[in-house]
Amino acid sequence: MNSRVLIVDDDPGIGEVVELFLRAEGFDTRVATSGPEALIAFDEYHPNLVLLDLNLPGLDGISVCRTIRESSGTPIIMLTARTDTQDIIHGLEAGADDYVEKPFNEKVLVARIKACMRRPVPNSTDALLVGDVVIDLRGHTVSRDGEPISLTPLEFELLHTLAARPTEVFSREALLEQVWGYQYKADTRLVNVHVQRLRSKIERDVDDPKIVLTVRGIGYRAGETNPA
Amino acid sequence: MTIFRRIARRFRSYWLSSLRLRMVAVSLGLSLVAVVILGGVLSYTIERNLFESRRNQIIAETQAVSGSVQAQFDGAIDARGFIDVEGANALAQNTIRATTNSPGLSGFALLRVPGQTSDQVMTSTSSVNFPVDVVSANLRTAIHDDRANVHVQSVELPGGIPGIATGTNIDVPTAGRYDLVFVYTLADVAQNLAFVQYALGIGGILFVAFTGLIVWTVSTRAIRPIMMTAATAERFAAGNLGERISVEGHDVSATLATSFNRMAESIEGQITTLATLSTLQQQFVSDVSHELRTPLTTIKLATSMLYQNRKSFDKDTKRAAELLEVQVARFENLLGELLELSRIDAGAADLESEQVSPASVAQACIDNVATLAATHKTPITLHAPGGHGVVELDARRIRRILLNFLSNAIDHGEGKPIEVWVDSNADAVSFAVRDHGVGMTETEVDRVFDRFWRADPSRQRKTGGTGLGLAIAAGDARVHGGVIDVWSRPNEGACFRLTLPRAGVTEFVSPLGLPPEEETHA
Repeated sequence: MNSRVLIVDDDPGIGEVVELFLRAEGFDTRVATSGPEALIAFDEYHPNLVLLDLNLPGLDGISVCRTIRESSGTPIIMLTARTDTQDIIHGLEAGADDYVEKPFNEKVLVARIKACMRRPVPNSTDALLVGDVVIDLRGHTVSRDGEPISLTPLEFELLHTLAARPTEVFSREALLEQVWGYQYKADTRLVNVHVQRLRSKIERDVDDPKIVLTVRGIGYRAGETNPA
Repeated sequence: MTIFRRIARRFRSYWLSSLRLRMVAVSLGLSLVAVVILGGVLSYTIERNLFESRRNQIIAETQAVSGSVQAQFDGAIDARGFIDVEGANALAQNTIRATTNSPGLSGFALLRVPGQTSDQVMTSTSSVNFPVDVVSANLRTAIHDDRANVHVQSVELPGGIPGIATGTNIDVPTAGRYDLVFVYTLADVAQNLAFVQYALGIGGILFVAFTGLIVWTVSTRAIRPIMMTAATAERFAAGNLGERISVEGHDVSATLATSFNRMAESIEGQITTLATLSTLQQQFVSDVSHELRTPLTTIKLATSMLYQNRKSFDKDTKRAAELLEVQVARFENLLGELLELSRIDAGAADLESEQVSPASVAQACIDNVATLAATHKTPITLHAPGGHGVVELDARRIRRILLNFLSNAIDHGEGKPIEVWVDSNADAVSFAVRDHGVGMTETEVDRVFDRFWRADPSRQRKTGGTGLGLAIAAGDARVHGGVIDVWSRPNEGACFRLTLPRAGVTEFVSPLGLPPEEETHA
C-alpha cells in the first residue's frame, strides 16, 4: 500500500502540481485548501505525512499543526512562503518536523518527504537507558519509572540517535544528517527547536537538563546512563 | 597637585554646566562687595561720631570742672590773704568728684608743674589708681604753653584700652601752677563700637545669604522654563517623540515653549510619516514575498515537469521548455535576493547568533563551492592563523557573505589560486577572500556594492549572479555590526575582507591585512 500524503495549501495550483509529482513518485495524495478542511481530511484520510502551508484560510497552519500534534506524531513538513524566521520557529515549536521554503523544487520536496517517512529499524538491543529514561526500541516507546512518555517519531529518533552512542557528542549538522536526513548544510534551528521540544517532554527540569545535554559550541550528547 | 587639578577640573565643569550656580555666585560676590563697602562706611562714620561726641563732652566737662576748681582755689583766700592750700586741695577734689558726671572717668590728678618756686607748696594729689604713666610729657608741656585752654590727648590705658587724657592749668594762689589732668577710659565707646560692628557684620552676612537665596529662587523661577525646555528637548532627542512642554502665561518662556512644541509636532509628524511608510514597505515586502512565492512554486514545479518531459516534445516546444526552466531559475534567484535586500533595507533582518568556529565556517564554505571551483580548475586554500575558537556569529549570514566572495573570486579569478583567510584578535574576527584574477580599477571598486552593477557587462558570467550579491553581503555585514573592505588592482586580483566585531565591541581593528600577507616568521 502506498504512503499517503496530505497536501494542505490554499493555492489550488500548488496542490495540483505537487500532487502530480508525488503521484509520479508513487504516493497517494489528497489536497486540502483550508485549515478546517485539513483537520477533517487528516481524520478521514490518516495520512503518513502532512505537507502544511502556514498561510491558510479558516484556521492558520500553526494552529492546524498544533491540533494534529495533540493526537498524533505524524510527520509534518511546513511549506513556508514567508521566510521570516519567526514564522519558521513558531511552526517548529508547534510541532512541525521540518520545513521547505517556497519556491521549492520537486527533488528537495520528495527528498524531505522520504527522509521524514524513513523511520529507524530497531537494532539488536531491546532497550536503551539514558539517565532514568528507558527507550524501548522494539515497542518504539519511551518511559520513566514505568510511566510512558509520548514522543513523536522524530523526537524518538532524535533521542535514540543520541542514546545509541552515549559517549559521542553530536554536532547540530551531524544530527541534521542522521535524524532529518539532510545531506547538505541546513537550518540548525531545526535541531535547537526539536531539542527544546524533546526536553520539555523528558526532562524533569527543563532548565537543568539531565537527558539531553548541551555541549557548548559543539552540539548535544546523551546524559549519564548509570544512575547515581 | 593632581588632586587639586582634578578638583579644579570638576569644579570648572560644574561651573560651566550650571547656569544657576553662576548666577548665584556672581550675585553673592557683588553683594559681598556692596556689604563690605557699606559696612566700612557705616562703621567708620559711627566710630567717628561716637568718639567725637565723647571727646567734646569730655572737653566740656574738663573745662567746667577746671573752672569750678579754679574758682574754688581763688575763693579759698581768706581776708588776711592766706590760703590753706591742703584744705583747698581736699575741697577741690570733692568738687571734682561731685561735678564730673561724664561716664568713663578713670581718674584725675592735680600735679604740680615742676621747676617753680612759691611761698608754699601744695601736695600733688591724684585719685586712687590714677594711671600717671599715660599722662605724657607732651600733654603737660602743651598745658604749660597754653594755659587758657583744655588740652586733649588720646592715650592707651593699661590693658590696651583706648582712653582720653585732658588737662588744663590751675593757678593755686601762693602755691603756683598745677596741672589738672583727667583720664577717661573709652572702653564703653569701644564696646559700643564693637557691638555696632558685630551687628553690621551679622547684618552683612544675613544680607549676603538672603541675596544668594533670593537670586537662587528668582533664577530658579526664571530659568525653570529653560531647564524644562532643555530636559524636554533631551527626552525628545532620546526618542520620546510625544514629549511636549506645558505652556503657561504669555511671556517669553511661553513663546519658547510654544515654538518648541510646534517644532516637536512637526518633527514627530514627519517621523511618524516615515515610520508608517517604512512599516508599509516592510508589510509590502512581506506580502510580495508570500504572493509571489506561491505562484512561483507552481510555475517552477510545472516548468520542471515540462522540462523533464521535454524529450517527448517537438524541437521548438522542447527549446521553449528549456528556456523556461533556465529563466524561471533566474527569476527565482533574483526574487530571493531582492526580497532579502528589502528585508535588510527595512531593518527587518534579525541576527541569529550561534556559537561557531570561524575557521570551520570558512572551511564549510570552501567545501560548498568545491564543485564549482573544480569546474573552473581553481584551487582554494584556507589560511587560518586564528579563528579556531568558538565565537558568537550569525553563521547563516556569514556563510552567505563568504559564498558570495568565493563565487565572485571564482568568477573573476581566471583559474588562478584563491586564498581564504581567517583570523581573530581580541575585538574582532575577520574573513578574507583573495583572488589573483582580472581585478578592478579604483572606480570599479567604488561601485562594487551598487545594486545590479557588474564589473564588466560584456563579460560572460559563469555563476549567473544577479548583481545583488555584494549589496546583500554589505547589508548582512551591517546587520552583524561589521564591515566589508575591498582591495583590488587591475590584473593583480581582488581581496574582499569581512571584519566582524565580537559581542559588545564597537571599535575594532581587523586582524587581517588588506590584502592579507603571509607572515614571515624568523
